[in-house]
Amino acid sequence: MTGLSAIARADSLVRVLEVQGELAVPELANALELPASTTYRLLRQLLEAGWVEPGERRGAYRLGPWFLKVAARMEFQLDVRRVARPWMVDLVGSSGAAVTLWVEREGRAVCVEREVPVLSNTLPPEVGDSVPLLRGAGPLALLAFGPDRVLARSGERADARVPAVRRAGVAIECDPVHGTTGFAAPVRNHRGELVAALTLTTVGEGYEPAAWVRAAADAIGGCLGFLEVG
Amino acid sequence: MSRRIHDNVASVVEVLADRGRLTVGVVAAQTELPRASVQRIADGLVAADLAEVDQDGQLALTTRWLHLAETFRRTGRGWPGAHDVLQALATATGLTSHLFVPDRGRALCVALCVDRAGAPGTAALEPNPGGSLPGFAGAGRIVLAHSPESAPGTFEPLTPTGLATVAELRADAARVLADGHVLALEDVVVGVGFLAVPVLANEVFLGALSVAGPVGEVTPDRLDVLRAAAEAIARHYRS
Repeated sequence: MTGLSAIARADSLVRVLEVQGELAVPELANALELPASTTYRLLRQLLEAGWVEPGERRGAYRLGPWFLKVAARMEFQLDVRRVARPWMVDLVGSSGAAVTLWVEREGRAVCVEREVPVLSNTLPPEVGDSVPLLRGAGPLALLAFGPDRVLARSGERADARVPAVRRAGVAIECDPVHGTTGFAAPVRNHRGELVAALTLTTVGEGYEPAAWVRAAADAIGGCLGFLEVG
Repeated sequence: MSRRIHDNVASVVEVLADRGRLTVGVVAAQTELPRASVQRIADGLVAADLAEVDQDGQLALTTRWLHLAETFRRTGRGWPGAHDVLQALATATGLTSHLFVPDRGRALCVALCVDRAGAPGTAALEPNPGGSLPGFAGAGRIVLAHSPESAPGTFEPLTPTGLATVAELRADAARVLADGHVLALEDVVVGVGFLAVPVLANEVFLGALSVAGPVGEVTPDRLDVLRAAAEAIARHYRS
């Protein structure tokens, strides 16, 4: 058996267990349309490799720890800043507006990436700037779409804006001092957890920045493994 | 999949997991496998949606691995119901809580929680889920005590204060079994301690539950809350 066919056969078994949870050899053989003896041989090989492990039921098998180990190593590569950067460049190119990326650290919003058009008429934050979670669209998105523990700490001032932001799927905040409007959307990872907020800040009108920033945030999330359900 | 093919697949996958996007030539150089073999493995991984080739011809793992890992955590020994218990344990102790399962003589971390309600900036102590501890250090000593057949023949301690000989390891395993816990101070990282207990369902060893933090904060008076949490996880497993 070549590497190609071996992987194909292993993958077909993995796909069955991915859906079914755990199955005994006869059930797996039936699902794979393979003889029980062939299925058993395949399971023994995959068991040794850590792709499957014994399940809770006697004689049953389920996915093994190999996937967790590989995923843990992969996650170091999936740095949201690096993944987001090309999407931010595209968004600046198509919108002509400044784009920033925010993460929550210690109950505050920290700007971790920025992309500014050559002729910018706004003054976006610098990388490393840290502001309270209620100030600006990006920080507000972190608050609204983040875990409840962050919201619980933020105090009652947040409560009025959060439900509307969650309904809209985007945070929109006007800055009357600078005459700008920020549009921010959540970036989620493969577990559906909020990892960042992508913000576009503009003084112009005539296009749909909310839809654009949401699309870019979803695209970044897709690169991190986020699958939108429903 | 034969042992040799699996080893080759594992080598390719691990290089891609660690390095991100690479050409087949670079993967071949990194793994010391023939380029043709790497190409065949790459084709297999791509066909299975486990890898993708970008427009520059570079190979990368797909996010399907992340979803398969989540499936393992949800349906396998990740014990989804354990998360609430781990979070409550971290909050009660102010320490990092870890759940480990045995994996080839090591303690594989499948879940971790930190005290989110505590001081801002509280950092999680490694290992992260997917990482592991050897059987001679930290919560790994619980795993080794319950699976003595996996004891290493030789090993190098991780710190100057860790267990250093096979004889010490054997004596420690017997002590851990008798005490039902391990207080492992500074044998994983200098300055860090683990307090760990086994998770047992109907006397079957399932894994290890631990709290970890600065050595001064990891004390035996945490044992009651730790044992209660282990029992709660075992109850969930039995149900």
